[in-house]
Amino acid sequence: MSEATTQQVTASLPEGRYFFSGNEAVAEGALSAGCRFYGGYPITPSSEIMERMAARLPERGGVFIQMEDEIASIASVIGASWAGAKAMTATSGPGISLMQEGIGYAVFTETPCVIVDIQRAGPSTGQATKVGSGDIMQAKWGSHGDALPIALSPWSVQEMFDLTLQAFNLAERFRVPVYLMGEEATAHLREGIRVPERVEVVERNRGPGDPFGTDEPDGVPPMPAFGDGQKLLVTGSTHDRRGFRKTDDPETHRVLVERLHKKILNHAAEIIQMEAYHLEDARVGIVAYGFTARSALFAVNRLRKEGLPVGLLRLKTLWPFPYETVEALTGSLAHCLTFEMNMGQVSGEIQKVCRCPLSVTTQVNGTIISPLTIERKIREVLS
Amino acid sequence: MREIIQIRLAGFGGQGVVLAGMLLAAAGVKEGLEVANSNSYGAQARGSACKAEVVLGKRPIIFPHVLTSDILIAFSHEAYGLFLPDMAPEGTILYDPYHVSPGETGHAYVEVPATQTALDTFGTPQSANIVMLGALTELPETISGKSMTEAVRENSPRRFLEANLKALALGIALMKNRKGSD
Amino acid sequence: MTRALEGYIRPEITGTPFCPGCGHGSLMGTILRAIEDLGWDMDDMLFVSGIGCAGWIPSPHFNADTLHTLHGRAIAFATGAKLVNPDLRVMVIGGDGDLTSIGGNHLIHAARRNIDLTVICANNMIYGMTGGQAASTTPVGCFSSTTPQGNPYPPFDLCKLLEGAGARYVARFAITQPLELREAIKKALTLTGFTFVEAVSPCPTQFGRRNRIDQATGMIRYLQEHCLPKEEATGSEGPDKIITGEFVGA
Repeated sequence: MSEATTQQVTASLPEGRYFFSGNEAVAEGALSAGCRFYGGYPITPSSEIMERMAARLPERGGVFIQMEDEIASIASVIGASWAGAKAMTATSGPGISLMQEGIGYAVFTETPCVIVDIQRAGPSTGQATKVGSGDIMQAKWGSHGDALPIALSPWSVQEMFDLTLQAFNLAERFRVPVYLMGEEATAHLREGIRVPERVEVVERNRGPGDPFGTDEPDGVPPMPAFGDGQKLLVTGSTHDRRGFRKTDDPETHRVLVERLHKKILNHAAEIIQMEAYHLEDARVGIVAYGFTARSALFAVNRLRKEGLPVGLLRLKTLWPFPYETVEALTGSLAHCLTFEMNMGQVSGEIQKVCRCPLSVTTQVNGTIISPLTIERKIREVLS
Repeated sequence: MREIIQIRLAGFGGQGVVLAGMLLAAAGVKEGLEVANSNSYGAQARGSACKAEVVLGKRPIIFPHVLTSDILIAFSHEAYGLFLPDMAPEGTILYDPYHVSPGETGHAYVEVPATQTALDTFGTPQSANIVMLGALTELPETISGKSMTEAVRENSPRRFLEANLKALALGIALMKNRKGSD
Repeated sequence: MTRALEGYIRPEITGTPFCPGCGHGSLMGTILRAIEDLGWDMDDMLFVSGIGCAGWIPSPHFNADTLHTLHGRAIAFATGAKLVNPDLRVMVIGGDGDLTSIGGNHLIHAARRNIDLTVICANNMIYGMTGGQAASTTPVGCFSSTTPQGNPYPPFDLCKLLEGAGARYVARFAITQPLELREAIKKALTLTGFTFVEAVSPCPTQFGRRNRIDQATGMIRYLQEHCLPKEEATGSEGPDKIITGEFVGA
């Protein structure tokens, strides 16, 4: 059986330390991953990604195009991916909303692509320049029907580079759209990052073989490109393993939708990443992600110096969601705390499996959650 | 240097506050420090309130924003008043007397006539931000003049490079002359 | 028995889904004959389509790479594929509602950028697949399932629209003019840049039935009577006339 392959390649920049904004780091992570196509539309606070790709992608033999809107952007990305290129777009909440039909098409046609969402305070135009984290559920449920894309949550400029690279690798490995769920606060943050000499990149399996079905337990079929002479038949309608429309056949639809879920869920252990801080003996545990996890770790470290039994679980992967880990963790805690720059989107997922009391703190005022807020909440719980 | 230094720069849009923060952070990278640099500003490109933050650390910086500033660089009186409450008690305030009239707060105050220097030298106030950075390098436990010069050299558009380097030198000289006369 | 154009149709295909009297089957044959005339290898071609009856012309029928996309978005998908692999010869086939209403923005912008695509718009002046609703191309006064009192709004002149948007080649012929249509498609395919052919195609099921042209032959006759070569047009024709010819890049 042929599979996606892993290779070591040189990064997009000479090895060394760089001072980058999060958005610049996303662009270099994408270039290092071998991105060859960017189609996008300007929107705050993501536009610096697009601007850097406009300058850098042609230098590296890729294609950049500014499309007429976000709907066209995701469509061009899917077309480019089927023509054989690693492809991406970047936008913010309003653009993600417009892209949802296309993202659903990418899920259903198993088109690898990377969608960077630099989240800002919504809904609607909201606070266009301010931070938010309100697109987590949209990434999972925004498109009609059942879809299971992958979503990653970076907390630093270094991770904007690292996780963008990983997003491409996961997309190519599993033939699925992968979201990088950035936040304005990290996108516009500037930090020193290390670019390694070589990075590990995944190259898709171009076949031969049926492009939309497999008997292998892996569940990920090969993906030839347009022009390979395979006479590909790609459609967003329910299709058999060769691509022929089977819109009247219940079994074909069931097999396809279930396989698209299983190919992700059966590899959850390979996909899901997280970090635990001081959880071994913690009685109070925080679950956080993205920028908020930095505030949380700062607060946890301060309280640990006072000898308080607090810890942090930081989620780097939001979809598929790590229900098992959260269930096991909360079984050993007296109290679980969450902090989110939305009305409790991830907290709802935690609630599904939480085995201890859960305190949810939400903040939707366009500012980051301060470590002082987190510290105060922990003290309340411990008192 | 201490483990962590938190610096806040504030004024209004168009004064080069964001650029000054970025150059300061870039100079920190030159010194091999961990840096985190963030900004906040209104949607308008010019004239609205504007703030930059730089956290310099010897070890990775967990929380990248300023919680209490060790140094406040005030480019406007409004910004000075706004961020005074977040000052560390032993903190230092660099202020431009052209825009700021400081009060009695118990902090260390350093007057830097950056705007007047820029006006006298270049005929415009535009380089005041760089003059201020030059002055900052003369404070103990901050960034060296050498690293700041390198950062300015690497990050200035060619047409502004000469003026920026001169403004930086003027800021350094302002402080050196003062030390000489103390 | 060997069918005409056998190699151009996927071997699994045994028929088309088009209604009796629909012009799309004829247009399908005209497109493939144009490609056969040019001697092009179908393995070098990519056909992109959206949603609607005309989206089914290439997919699944054509024996080449086919990308059947979302309603209105075919041109944007095609743009990405063409830019990544310029060796692909990319043709977009869609209906009037798909390409010029929901997808109108992509159409004019691809023309403006002069992306090297050939777009064939099968214009039947109605939404066929969804049940005969008014389109951006339905003539004033015509009946549809959403204009029971007659369409109050004037239609786009698609060729003028594309000319204004900067297309490299623009032509309009009805499927009742198969030889002219085939030549126009060949020209559109061979020219580099954004080329556009409007193929006026009868829809007796949805358009004809509501406008007292019930029979397939009636729709054919309607087109024959209303099409007027641009060389014969005086400029004072009524809005019911369909002016045909090459408008840009002749």
